[in-house]
Amino acid sequence: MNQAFPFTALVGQAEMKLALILSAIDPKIGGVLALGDRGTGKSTIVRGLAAVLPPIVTVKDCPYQCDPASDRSQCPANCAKTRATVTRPVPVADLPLGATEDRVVGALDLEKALTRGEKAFEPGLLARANRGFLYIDEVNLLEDHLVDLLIDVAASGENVVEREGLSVRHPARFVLIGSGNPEEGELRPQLLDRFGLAVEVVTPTAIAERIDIVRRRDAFEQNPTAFLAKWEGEQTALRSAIVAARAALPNIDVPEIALEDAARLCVALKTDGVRGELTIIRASRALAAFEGETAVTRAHIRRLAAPALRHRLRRDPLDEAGSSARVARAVADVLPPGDMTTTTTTSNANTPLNSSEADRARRNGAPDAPPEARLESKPEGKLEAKLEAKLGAKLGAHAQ
Amino acid sequence: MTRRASQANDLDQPSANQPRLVQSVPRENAPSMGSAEVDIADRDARARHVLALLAVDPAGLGGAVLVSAPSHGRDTWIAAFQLATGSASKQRRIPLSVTHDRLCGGLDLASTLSRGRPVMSPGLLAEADGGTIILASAERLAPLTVSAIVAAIDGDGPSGKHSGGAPSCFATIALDESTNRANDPADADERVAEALADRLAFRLDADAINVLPAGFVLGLEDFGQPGMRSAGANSDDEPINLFDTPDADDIAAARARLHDVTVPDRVIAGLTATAYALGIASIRASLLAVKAARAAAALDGRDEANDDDARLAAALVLAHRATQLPADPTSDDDAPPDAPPEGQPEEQPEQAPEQQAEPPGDQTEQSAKEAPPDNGPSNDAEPPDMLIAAAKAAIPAGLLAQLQSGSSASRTQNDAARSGASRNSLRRGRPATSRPGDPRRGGRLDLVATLRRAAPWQTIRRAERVKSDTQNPEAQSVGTKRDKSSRLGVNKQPASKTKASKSTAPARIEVRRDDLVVRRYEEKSGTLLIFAVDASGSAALSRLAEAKGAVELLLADCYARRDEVAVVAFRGTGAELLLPPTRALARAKRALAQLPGGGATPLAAALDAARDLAAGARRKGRQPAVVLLTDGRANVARDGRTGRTVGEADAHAAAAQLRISGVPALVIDTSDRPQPQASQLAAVLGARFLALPRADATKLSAAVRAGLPGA
Repeated sequence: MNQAFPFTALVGQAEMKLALILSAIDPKIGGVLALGDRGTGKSTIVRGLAAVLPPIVTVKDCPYQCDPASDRSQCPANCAKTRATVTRPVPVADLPLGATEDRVVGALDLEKALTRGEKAFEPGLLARANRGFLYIDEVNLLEDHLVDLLIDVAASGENVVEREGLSVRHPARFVLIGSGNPEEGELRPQLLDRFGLAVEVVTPTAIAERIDIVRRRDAFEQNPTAFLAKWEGEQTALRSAIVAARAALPNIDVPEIALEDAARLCVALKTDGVRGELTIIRASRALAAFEGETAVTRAHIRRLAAPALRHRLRRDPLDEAGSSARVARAVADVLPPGDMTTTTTTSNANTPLNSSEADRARRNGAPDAPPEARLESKPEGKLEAKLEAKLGAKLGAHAQ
Repeated sequence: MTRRASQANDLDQPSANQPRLVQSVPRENAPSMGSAEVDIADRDARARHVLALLAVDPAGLGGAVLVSAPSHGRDTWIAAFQLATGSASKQRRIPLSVTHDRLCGGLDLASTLSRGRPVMSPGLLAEADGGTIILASAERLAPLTVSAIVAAIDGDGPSGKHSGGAPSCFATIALDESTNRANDPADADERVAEALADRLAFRLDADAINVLPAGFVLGLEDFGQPGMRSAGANSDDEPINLFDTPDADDIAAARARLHDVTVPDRVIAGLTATAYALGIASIRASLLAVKAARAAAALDGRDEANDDDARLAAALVLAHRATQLPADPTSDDDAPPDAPPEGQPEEQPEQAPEQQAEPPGDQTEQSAKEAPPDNGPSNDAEPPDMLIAAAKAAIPAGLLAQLQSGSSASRTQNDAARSGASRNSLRRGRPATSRPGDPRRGGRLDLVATLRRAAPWQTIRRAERVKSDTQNPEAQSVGTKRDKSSRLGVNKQPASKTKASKSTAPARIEVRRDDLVVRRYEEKSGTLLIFAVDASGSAALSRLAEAKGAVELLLADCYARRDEVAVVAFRGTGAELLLPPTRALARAKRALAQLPGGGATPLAAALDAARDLAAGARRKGRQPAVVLLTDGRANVARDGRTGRTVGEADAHAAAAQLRISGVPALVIDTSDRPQPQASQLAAVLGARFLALPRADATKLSAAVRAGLPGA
């Protein structure tokens, strides 16, 4: 693969770039689906992603990119014994449309099988994507059985291979990025819902913007090295911002009112399940962290409503306005811009912005988190559980 | 590669005394690319320019689509291109039936088994590195093949260890052999996939390639012979000047220069603005145009692209992508502010702005025929205007008329819809990919895939068997396995349980149940519902709105069942394919909403159009069904004559033909009061007839659901 076009040098497509950055800050957001015309730079953006993300530290020679700090006893490559580590760019694995199941999940290592008669597992794309991103161009044209498989692995974070004496189980935690042109084939609703954010990629119509794109692209292709050097500053700045946002993420406050906003929005749009709310909140939290704020505000939720919800609406095949317009309408109705406190009357009167988590959980009627949970080393796990409990309660209240 | 073209290859093998095709062309008479003398409307020149530019920057410009039936002209062009790119470059012809493995490389089963170690074959795309791939019948390539090629063009093609490192870099010549012209519904999706065409800078139409002088074909027979001469009327001294191609040395020099050629901002801006003004959505087109301009400058020996290069690029790269004509070139105030008022003569000695689309001298007559009448005589030096004029001049006249008549919107719609339809054929009619499975549960064994799957395990299994045999020499378990294999017809040798057979065991391929791969076919072939909607005056007055409503309801139904729909509307003088087969139902709805009513009732034309569509769908393994919404009062014959008698006679004839073709049909009488015509038509069609006086759309839709099997 040649050098990739620098992420920061890309003109336009702000929504997609933001969605990818947010996913990089918080992988739990659940992947990005980019739908739109061809020739709009979707693939270019994804391929430029690895270069702006902070590199990861992995165990040397481990095909699954195990984190040296993690529990490695389950690694099929037995990397627990290895002490050496390497720093490498975040993996962005490309899943080609014609990929066979073997190449995706991994298969018998041919070399070893034929030369030494050894039964060994050769990791596939899912292993390559571990701790990184898995990019599927034209995801809407992918064969159904592969789609099912990916959904399964993406949800469980683990790839299981069982075949004639090969029994392998390895971590496969990745952010799924799909792109495609909906006019060339519909995406199955089950798959749609699995993506956290859905962005619409449109051909830029401003001539100045188009000229800029062509100019930069041409400059890059003429002399990639010089072009990359020119953009190095911006790349570094973005990378630092992402690192800072990751560090800040656990401390971002999600006020009651934000949860309420998200729930009301989803009820208004009649989305199924709570995935929509969870995604909005997670993405808003990542956005707040990225922009150096301390708490999620309505402005964040308003900005992210469309990418978080547009693909979760019940499809009306004949609605020409499209999902984005419907989300925009709902946002305008339910969440007018401005002060949050003026629109809600319940439970938020005394909410200090930085109340303790236990406080808020109590006010919400949820039992205090058990002490074990509080001691848990990962603050995120607790946060997620709490979010889900709260959102469930909110939804119940609104549905009645 | 045809015989002649391969002769051309042979010819091109390094050998000092081989005649060069263009050797006798005096260098100063060779066409100077990008010079102001370029007559961009000249189709002959078009083929020549494309050839030269592509030879200079094959990887950057991607390639060309050649729209032509197999012809001498086409073969010659390809041979000439091969000559121009130099003898070292490889040419790989990719047949329609190419497998994904062959294309992208993979395990070479035969060598792997015979050598006992994995042997990877590189794949055609990797083999073509630095050369050219030629796609035969590119318009019919399977979507999977297209996506593999596109990935390779994008530089992330056959990746990983199979191809061993660097991405493959090649030019693509896509041979579009489709015969379809504009609005032929039967061939609606027979065109080069948009994803591919978008990445190839050029497109040459048949009449641009097949313009060779008559004597030339005869001369081609001598192609490769020393002192080849035209056997035609030409005198023996007159050499064949094949497309006037610059020779390989010129090309090589231009290639070396290419990297240092700068394209000034105003040219980039001008080309981008031009692309936009022509309604070209993809940014890639502008980028390719910039590269074409650069290649033209390199070929001309300059270090900077000038406005002539830009004009040439606009004509060759942008013109054929146009979906609209710029509203008014002179009012285009989007021109970049940094565009210089006039050209910079000291840097571009050859610049001659006044010559833009005006061919000099004797070529005037020819180009006047081909160039549109209004090639924008704007002579100011603002690049966009001139470029637009250049591109406009290169737009075929027919297309121009079409664009001017305002049908550009429907053209783009059709484009997108067509690519959708061909994409969807992934799941239609063709065998689906083989999957692991058990042939005893239905399904045919895919022998090759099974062997391929079993191959890597052979060493392991043999080792296991030797082990178990030595542990328990008389054990029959192995024999049982062999029996199973032979029952499946995989093991060619008769199973033998004697010890003697053990010595021959290594030659035997052990196939186990896990290896079995069955072929899959798409079980359910999809349905294509063809709506033929009567939009004539008589129907429009009363029921057109209702018919539209019913179709919309049905569309929602089709969406749930993932059926395809097509809409044919008929009114006035003929039937129009409003919507080629598609699943994009929002578009179907839009097409319907825009359908105006009024005019006569050309029922026969509508039935013919529906039959063509149905036949096309059949070929793709779809189940077509026709829903005809009409009042049956035909009054236009097939040949356009009006009159109730001829109209109905032709309509009945067309209906009978549709019936013979075996397409299920349903006639819905949309007349205000029930009349005999529609029911008579239904009788001729052998179709169900539904007279629905005062039906609302919901009832109509329910009727269709009940009336058509599988609809």
